[in-house]
Amino acid sequence: MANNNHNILDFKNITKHYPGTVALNDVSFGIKKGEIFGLMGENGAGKSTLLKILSGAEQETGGEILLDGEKLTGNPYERRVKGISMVYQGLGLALELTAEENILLGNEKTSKIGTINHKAQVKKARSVMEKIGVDFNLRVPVYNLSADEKQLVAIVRAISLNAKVVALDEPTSSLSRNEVEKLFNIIRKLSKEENISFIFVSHHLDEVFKITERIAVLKDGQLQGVLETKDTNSQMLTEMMVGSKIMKQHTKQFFKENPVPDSNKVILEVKNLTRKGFFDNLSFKVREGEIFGIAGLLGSGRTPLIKSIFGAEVFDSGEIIFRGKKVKFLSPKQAIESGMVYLTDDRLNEGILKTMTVGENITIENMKKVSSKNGVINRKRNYDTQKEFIDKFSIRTTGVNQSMPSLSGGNQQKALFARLVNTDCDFLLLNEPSRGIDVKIKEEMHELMFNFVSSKSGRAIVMASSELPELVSTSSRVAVMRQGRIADILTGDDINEAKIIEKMV
Amino acid sequence: MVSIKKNNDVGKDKDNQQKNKTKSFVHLMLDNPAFSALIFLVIFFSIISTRFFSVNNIINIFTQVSITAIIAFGMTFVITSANIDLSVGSVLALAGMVFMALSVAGIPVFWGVLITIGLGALIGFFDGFVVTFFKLPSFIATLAMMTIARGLALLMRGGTTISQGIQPSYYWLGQSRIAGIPFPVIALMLIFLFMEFLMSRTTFGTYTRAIGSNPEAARLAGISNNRILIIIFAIVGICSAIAGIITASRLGVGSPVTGQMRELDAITAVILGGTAMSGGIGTIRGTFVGALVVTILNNGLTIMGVSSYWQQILLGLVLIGALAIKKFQRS
Repeated sequence: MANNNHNILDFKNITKHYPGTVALNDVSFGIKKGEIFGLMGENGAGKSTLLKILSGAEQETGGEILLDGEKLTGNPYERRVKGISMVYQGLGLALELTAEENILLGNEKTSKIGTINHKAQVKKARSVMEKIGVDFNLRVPVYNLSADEKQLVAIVRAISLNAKVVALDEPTSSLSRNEVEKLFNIIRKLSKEENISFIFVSHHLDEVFKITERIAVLKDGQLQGVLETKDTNSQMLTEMMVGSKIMKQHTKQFFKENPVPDSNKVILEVKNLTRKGFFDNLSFKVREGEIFGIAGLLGSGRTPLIKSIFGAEVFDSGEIIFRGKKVKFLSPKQAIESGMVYLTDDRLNEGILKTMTVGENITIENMKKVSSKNGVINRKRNYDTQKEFIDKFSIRTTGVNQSMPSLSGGNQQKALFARLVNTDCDFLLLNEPSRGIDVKIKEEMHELMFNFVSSKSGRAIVMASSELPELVSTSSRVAVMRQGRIADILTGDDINEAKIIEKMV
Repeated sequence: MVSIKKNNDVGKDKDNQQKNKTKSFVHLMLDNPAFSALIFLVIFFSIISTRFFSVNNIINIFTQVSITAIIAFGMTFVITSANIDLSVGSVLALAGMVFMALSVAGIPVFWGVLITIGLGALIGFFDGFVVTFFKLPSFIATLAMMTIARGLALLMRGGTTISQGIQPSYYWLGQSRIAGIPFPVIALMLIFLFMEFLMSRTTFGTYTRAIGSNPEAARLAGISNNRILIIIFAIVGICSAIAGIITASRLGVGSPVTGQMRELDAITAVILGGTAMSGGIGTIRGTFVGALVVTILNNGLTIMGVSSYWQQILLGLVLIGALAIKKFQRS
């Protein structure tokens, strides 16, 4: 490969704004011809947005992409013809169509009058399949194929149109170990023999180490750096993904001076909690006055755990004892009525009510407080409550009637936190409380959390987070999860970034 | 993807809102296409025909609008919750048939009304149950109910009407006047006030919009989506039954073939009134305006002597026009 230094693809200062959030901020890096390039980051770091901009499904707010030195433009189909192919996580196959039809979808071989020439299509598909040495039935609907065969259909489809760059989004998520190995061999072969470049998106560290040559790490829409895979290790990568480097200045530790004594009464006890495939045999106790941190990488089980406690998801076995009573909530409603509330990690899709006002978004979880027994809203009390929280949490709005999506991400998050506090529940389950918000509001959120637990007795918070500085700063103790198990529960001086990372990977 | 797109729209809405701080009349009109259409139609028909803007014709319009509007009020809740009910026309016919059959059977009118409304509620409960427990899309569930209710109505008298042996008291609801105002208009006003209150001043209305806005967020906020949805379908069932009672009582006949295409009139009124098909936004007063536009268009054109075939074409164009203005404004 003589032209090894030649970049086939260049991202130049790519920026993407959504109302209220900056999804990507000035991201620049290049990918060489025939290179297998890893793209890593936690949820919401900007990986998917970057891929969507590359494919043409979304328009960048600023910056440009160069393919072979030329500015890349056009819709997804035009870009595919130019050599940019995507294999999305759901594979993007039409399951009712046959493999042959899927591979040539949008690029059919037709006769003069427009009918499909299946013979020619099969021939074309076969030629690609032989090139990479795979075989599957071309004539049956794709839903009849196994998971790895579907993956192969998607890859054959991706490279059938003279692909120069193929982006694979979490390609291994539905594959067994053997199948992953096979897939990797195919990727290596294509990169060596056909000089095709791959963008490999995955949150499995071991896979990324195995297959890639270089890795770019994104966090909160920022490029943290591009590393040579052989010069790095899981510790370094994890640090970059969870961002201990950039947030060093934020090291106020709320519980350092006054730790929560073991004698405090237990508010939540989790015993041997298990949900097959998600988490296994988890046990811990949360005491009055605590902010109990749960650390773990994407896929470690922190979200399923916290949602299962809340009754938004189910668990298979084990016990949850809340304020001395054994509970198993069948719905969030039951959990809220028993005195616990949940803050989602997916603000856009599970948190905000987009068509409603900021004020309504705050009071929605406790309408009882602002209405009579038979459900008639007391408009003055409603307004006063909304106004009270907007002032108390200094949410920046033009008023209670501003529409929720027009707030910045940080202020939306504060409004959601206000929604929880307005329920008068004394136990909060927070999932990524400061995801996608700027440093200043992050600190405000942390103050709000600490004030919450310290201002009244009988209160506690469980906080799942992928951000180490946040965990270190706000947690009284930190349970570190790894692949569905609690690797360790850290206390006191052990709550530091190095120790957490050591247990995480 | 969808959420992001919506997000953009709402962001732009806010810009619009700020522009509107000038509060110019033009903006007010543009922001409420149905309202502007209503004013335009009233002025237009008043100029064209002296008969249009008369007390008699206005009472006439309100009598005509009552059936569509009462159904559309219920439909507003359904569409605001991001669902649809296609069965309203058939339920109207079935309710009319049952109401008249009860009359023939000698049931006092008070109980006749109560039982018929109960039937409407029951059908709504069933729709809501199918939608929430079997997780069927409401389009499918109510499409099925549309043919079931129509079939039941036809089955009752082998496809014929009920017109013999009806107690005179059963005509009262459709044909009497109080202080010169027809009873259907009074019923319309009472139902309007109640439904407007329900949507804008109660927790139920707030929950309806929350579920339509984002069902998962609503669930995580402790709302029983299923319970609310079942009640919503029961409400639209009751509305259809009331419309069926008024229709049958006015005509003095229970007919199994009335109410066909009523679902489309109601949906048109709701959409014209500014309720979002995608859910989360909806007002009863908007729907009332939308229903008036539909009715006045038909009424005025009839006075002008325009054929009912042309009326249908024009109504379709008005619907497209009103929504196009709204979209155009947003982008």
